[in-house]
Amino acid sequence: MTSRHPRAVARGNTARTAESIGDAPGPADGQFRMPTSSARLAYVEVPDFPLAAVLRAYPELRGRPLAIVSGGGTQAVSQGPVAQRGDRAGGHAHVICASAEAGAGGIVAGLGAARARQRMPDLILQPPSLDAERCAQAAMLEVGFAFSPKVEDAGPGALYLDLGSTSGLYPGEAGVATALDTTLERLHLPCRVGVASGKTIARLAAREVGMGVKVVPPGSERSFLAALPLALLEPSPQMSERLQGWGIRTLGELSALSPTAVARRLGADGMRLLRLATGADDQPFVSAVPPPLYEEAVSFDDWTVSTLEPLLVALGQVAERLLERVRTAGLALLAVTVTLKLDPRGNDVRHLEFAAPLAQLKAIMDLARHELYLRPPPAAVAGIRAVGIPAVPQAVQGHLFAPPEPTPERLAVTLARLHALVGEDRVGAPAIPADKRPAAIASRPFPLPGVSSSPRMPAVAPRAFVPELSQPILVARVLRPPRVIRVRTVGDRPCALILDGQSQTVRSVAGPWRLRDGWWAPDPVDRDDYDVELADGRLIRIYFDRQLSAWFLDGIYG
Amino acid sequence: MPRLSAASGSDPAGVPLLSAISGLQRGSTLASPDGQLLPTGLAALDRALGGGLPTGRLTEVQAPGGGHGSLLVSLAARATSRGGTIAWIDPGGFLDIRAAQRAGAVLERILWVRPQNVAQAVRAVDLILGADGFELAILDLASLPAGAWRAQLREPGFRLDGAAWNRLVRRAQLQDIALVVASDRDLVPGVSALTLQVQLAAPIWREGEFEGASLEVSVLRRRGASGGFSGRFWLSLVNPPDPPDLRDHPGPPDSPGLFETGGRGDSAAGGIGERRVIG
Repeated sequence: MTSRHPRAVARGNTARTAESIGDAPGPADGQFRMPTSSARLAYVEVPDFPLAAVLRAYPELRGRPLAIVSGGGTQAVSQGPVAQRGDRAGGHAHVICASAEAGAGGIVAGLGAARARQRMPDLILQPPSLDAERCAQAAMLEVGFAFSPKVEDAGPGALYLDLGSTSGLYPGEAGVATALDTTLERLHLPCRVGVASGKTIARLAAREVGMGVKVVPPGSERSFLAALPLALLEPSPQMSERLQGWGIRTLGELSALSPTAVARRLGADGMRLLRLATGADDQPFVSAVPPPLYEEAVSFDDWTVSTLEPLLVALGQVAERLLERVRTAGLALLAVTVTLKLDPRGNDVRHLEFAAPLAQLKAIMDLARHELYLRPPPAAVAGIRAVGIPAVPQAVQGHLFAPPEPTPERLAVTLARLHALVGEDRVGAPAIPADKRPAAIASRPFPLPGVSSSPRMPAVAPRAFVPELSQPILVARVLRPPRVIRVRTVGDRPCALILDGQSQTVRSVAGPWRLRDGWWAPDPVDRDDYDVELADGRLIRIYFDRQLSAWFLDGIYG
Repeated sequence: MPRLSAASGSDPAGVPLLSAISGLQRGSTLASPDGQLLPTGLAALDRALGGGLPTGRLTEVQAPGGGHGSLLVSLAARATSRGGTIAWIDPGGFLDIRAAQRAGAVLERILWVRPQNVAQAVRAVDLILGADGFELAILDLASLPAGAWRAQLREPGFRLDGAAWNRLVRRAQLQDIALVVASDRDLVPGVSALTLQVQLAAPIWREGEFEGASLEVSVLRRRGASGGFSGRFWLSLVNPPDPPDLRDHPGPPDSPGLFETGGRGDSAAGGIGERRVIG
């Protein structure tokens, strides 16, 4: 079998158009039994799935001659990550599938790896990537669930969708199928889609069209099946030869045979082919469970990344794939857990949490960059695994008479960038600290409009302890931390002090006010506060710390 | 500390202040800048400026001797109490949280960013101005320690020059955010739409208590209008009831409600955890 890259096929003879066939009179033979299933199903298949998964995970390999080889045999000749891999399987590896660029050089499935290398010296040989296939399969399932609540995992690179509940959302079944095709193409998973009544007919429709979309309208299954070539059922070579010897080349001709005769002459294999030829399903539709998390991974296998920039590039590719999947489901990312596989062993786990669901790669990578620059991995990295926690993007209804509020997503992006710029503990909404010292700092995460988990204040401030705004107050600028000063006193009242290296006479003083609190805590408050006017006109707030027996300046009025 | 009876706009003698300040009256006749105006919460200043500070523009508040803190807090209180969201970029960490709340600010509507140096502060403002929905961005660069300014020299590719300020102004204009920069020097020459100079003066002492001070406000520059005015505002130091966390502090975890805390001005309070006048 010649294996070609799916995109090459798409550009080839088969046009990517949705087509349907009209009904035609079928054989009048009473032996022809149509399936009784009335459920409309779509079969989605990514041809050459191992190749598509690798191309999705390693974008740098797109457009280059690439062959997926079995047996782990790899010998790279290109530049880049793959070039660093060694040949591990000797001469027994053979090509499973190859890209269109490799196909143009005569690389076909079944060809030995050594022979393939002879034919095309610049060929890149790559083993199947289980990580890449697992993530690609998960991405396909998520796309399926974005279209239908009933999706069956039909094995690597394939799935079935029950289209029963999607008819109102798209312009016909062809519209659904085309949208599926387009969405997967955007995820770098070119596919073919067949829509029919029943799994078998849908699968045969997809394979008959090659690449693209084919819809078999209800009632036209018989005529559709009758014209299909027998090869679509993939009979064994012996079976194929025998049937051709009988002059049977289409499914219609096969289904016209008597089941008794087929069972007697061809056995169980023959009966299975006969059932498939009539469109019968060999398995019922089994709906899968939507994945709770989104996961993308990349493994560097025989090479490692020891500097941050290449690591960020690889992480960016992983995050981009993750985000694309999340966006496909109409969601955004609330948090991402990045696990860096260290060389030779161990993991470095980073948890990136966002103020609101984010769907912007740049903001997420800003945070990741900040995180990695702040705490670089302790060893070279041999792989990346990113697990995203999805959430519904936030939307908020603005008030008609209130000033506009920040939109949650843009605010979350801004907060993420501010966190990356100045640090998470330096961004937030100020809060009244439990510690009564003026220099105490308390802040909490800045509440986002419309985010239920963050307490958002009402549009109008509570008035219980708020004076009239027409009565402005004199505010002190708080020094954090308070500055130690030297004070001369008469009795217990300051009369002069040294500030900024200069001696200052105290012109007026008010106080003291004693503040005692937290005696049970390791750092109790016990101080006497004074408001002081200095000779140079400055108004300051100082205090005497009774625990430390020292004077401090903790505020300057103005 | 005693409660102050004089309201804003009155001098200690009880004479209405505004009527005594001819400069303010003249200032009120100045033409307003284009665009919308954001009230400052200081009635006299708002009248003088024709409604408040211009949005989508840069307002510079110069405070060589301090005095801008009260103006900024009043501005924040006014904006947030109307339901607006503001950003306060505070590299010096000078914001008095309790005072801001007493002034009427809704703390949950203030995005408080405390960068570690001037370069970070300007970049933070740049990010804020790129977001939508903020009504006001305050950049407080006054009274910063020298280290905060020196740090910017080590930042690669960062220059706080006219081009940088112009970029910020353009972004503020795009989002229609009032950008207010407080400094103790002439930091943004030629870029601001409005330049105010504030000076804290004439503290008021009565019977040994510090009751308040006057704030002298001068308009140094106002785009679209010639001349300026100089006037004085009386900022009264109010003594509002203490917030609940000061009055109802739970005390140690094993003795809830046993310890009560007095508040500033609550001279009759006694016992452990009090804050009382002892002088």
